[in-house]
Amino acid sequence: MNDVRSINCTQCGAPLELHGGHRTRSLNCAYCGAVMDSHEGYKVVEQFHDTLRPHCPLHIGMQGVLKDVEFTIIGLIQYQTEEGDTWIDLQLYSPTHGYHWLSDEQGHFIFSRRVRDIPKPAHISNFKLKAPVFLGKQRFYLYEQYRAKVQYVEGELTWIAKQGNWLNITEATAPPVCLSYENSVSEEDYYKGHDAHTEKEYYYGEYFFPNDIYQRFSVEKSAQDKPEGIHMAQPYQPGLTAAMGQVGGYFFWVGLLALFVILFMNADEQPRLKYHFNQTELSTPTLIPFKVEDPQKLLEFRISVDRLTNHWVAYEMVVQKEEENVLIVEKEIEFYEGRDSDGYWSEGSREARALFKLPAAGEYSLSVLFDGGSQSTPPPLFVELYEGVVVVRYFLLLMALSLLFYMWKWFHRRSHENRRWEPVTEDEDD
Amino acid sequence: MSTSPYPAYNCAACGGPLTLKFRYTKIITCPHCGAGLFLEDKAVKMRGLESVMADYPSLFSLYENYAYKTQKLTPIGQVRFEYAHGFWDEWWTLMSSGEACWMSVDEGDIAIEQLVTLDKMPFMPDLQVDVEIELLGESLRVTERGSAQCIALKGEIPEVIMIGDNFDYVHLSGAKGRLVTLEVQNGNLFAYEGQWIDPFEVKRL
Repeated sequence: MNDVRSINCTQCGAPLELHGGHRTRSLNCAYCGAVMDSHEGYKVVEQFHDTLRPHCPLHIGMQGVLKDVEFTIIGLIQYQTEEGDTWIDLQLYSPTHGYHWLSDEQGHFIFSRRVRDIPKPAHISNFKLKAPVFLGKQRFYLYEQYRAKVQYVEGELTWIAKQGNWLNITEATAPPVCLSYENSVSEEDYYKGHDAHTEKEYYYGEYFFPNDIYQRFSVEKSAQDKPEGIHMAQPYQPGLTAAMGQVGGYFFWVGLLALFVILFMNADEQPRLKYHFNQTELSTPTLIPFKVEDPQKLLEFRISVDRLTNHWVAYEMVVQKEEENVLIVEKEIEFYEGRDSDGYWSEGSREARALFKLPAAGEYSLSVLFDGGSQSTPPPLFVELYEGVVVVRYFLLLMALSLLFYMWKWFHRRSHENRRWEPVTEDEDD
Repeated sequence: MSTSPYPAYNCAACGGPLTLKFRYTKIITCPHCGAGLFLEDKAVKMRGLESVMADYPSLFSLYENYAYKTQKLTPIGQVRFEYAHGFWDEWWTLMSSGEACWMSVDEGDIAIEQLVTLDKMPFMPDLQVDVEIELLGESLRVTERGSAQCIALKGEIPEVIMIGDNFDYVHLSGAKGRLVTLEVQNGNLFAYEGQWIDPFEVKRL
């Protein structure tokens, strides 16, 4: 539970609530801009002039749980960069875990805490975009280096803020976390260009999605802001299409593996039947026996003619078992070719296929009869029968779709990364 | 039968057995009646002035086990000091390495320190905030100095500390979270060295 105390501003008398512990150093009055020293009996030590309270969905006194620790928002600072961009740092307090920060950066939230380890390198004097820096074993990539000044303060802070104080900031990212090098510079030193001798502090930040923060701090729907763009530490979060892409990726690779297995297993497939029907056999029923071992497996006739040009022919294939017809398949083969002004052309095929299943295992016989065509005599027909045929065309279609989704996910992710780096890449291009 | 390998004592107030967790304990709170006791060789004496340890939220509790990186930490004694802006707790803590340390906890700022012997003690009045000195082979900067008074203690303590005892202290900070504390009590100067630890890396076991 938050222990709320209150005092009156020692300058204007406005009632001010106190939510922090004894290590807060200043109390900043939102009414008159007075900065009071908490360790000196709330004596006014600084004064902010002409400041407007910035908009923020979170406000002082709100409580929320971050990393299993309940924090209270006790103070607020608004910074403005030299380019005019602004963001808000909210000072958080927990009696057990102390003082930390929650930054509201264009509707994105970063929970950051000071780290005592020193990154490598400790100073970034020669900033190079995407150059690696390390905190312990964790690698970050340099993102931006800029200056910002204190614009507005409110509530309790662990230091005494002065209007116009500048902050040198270097940021590096490793989504969903980031690393920040910070050192403060007085207004006087800023304009003199003296800033290298102040103490540098390092902050380790973790990205929180806005909806998550609003839920944790019980922010009403109407007060919530929509985030702008992609934050430097915002992790890639697959949408529905991208999630389907991920599934598509699994499908594709599993499918590819399965295809290889199928092709490998069928590499040495032997036909159950292999027979060359001549003209006589195609005119008079000739029974050719064959055997089916597994009725669950798909069977396939593969028929072909050698000498067929600019004609079509039709065949009737009859499968019998114990002199009873169990299957009749009619197939046409047509093939045309010639030459014109564009050269050689052809149409149709000298081959045909027919898939089918038979009701039971056992002995069968096949007869093929010529069933007419554009020529009076049938060309000899070569017939093969395979058992355990796998139809891969639907499989390939599914794989193609999977690949399409997979590629979409890849583009989606790449687009996210491009948008992450776009603001600073544009700066560099300038 | 006591399960402690250390000397056996009985409370001077209630006669209950005192089971030590640390061989060199000088002060203990009786777990049975809450009396404050001194341990002197084989004698157990009443401590006199008693205090109540007000219950504030803390990451640590006495005799519970905590993990920090590869160490297991078990606080067995708690001393509360009041200073200008509030209070902080010093926890006398056993480590799984077999050593013991003082763990200083002040609103989420946690430091682990151990007694260290300095070849040459610096002159305390010189150590004003922001002064930099060479100590223990490194450059350290004075980040805080002040006075504190012991206002409560509980559990086992390896030093004789009395309620109302006053201390002057100086905190010096170095690179990589290094911390050195110089402490003056009754004209004697003690030095402790250690480092800050991240409260988010402390896990209750």
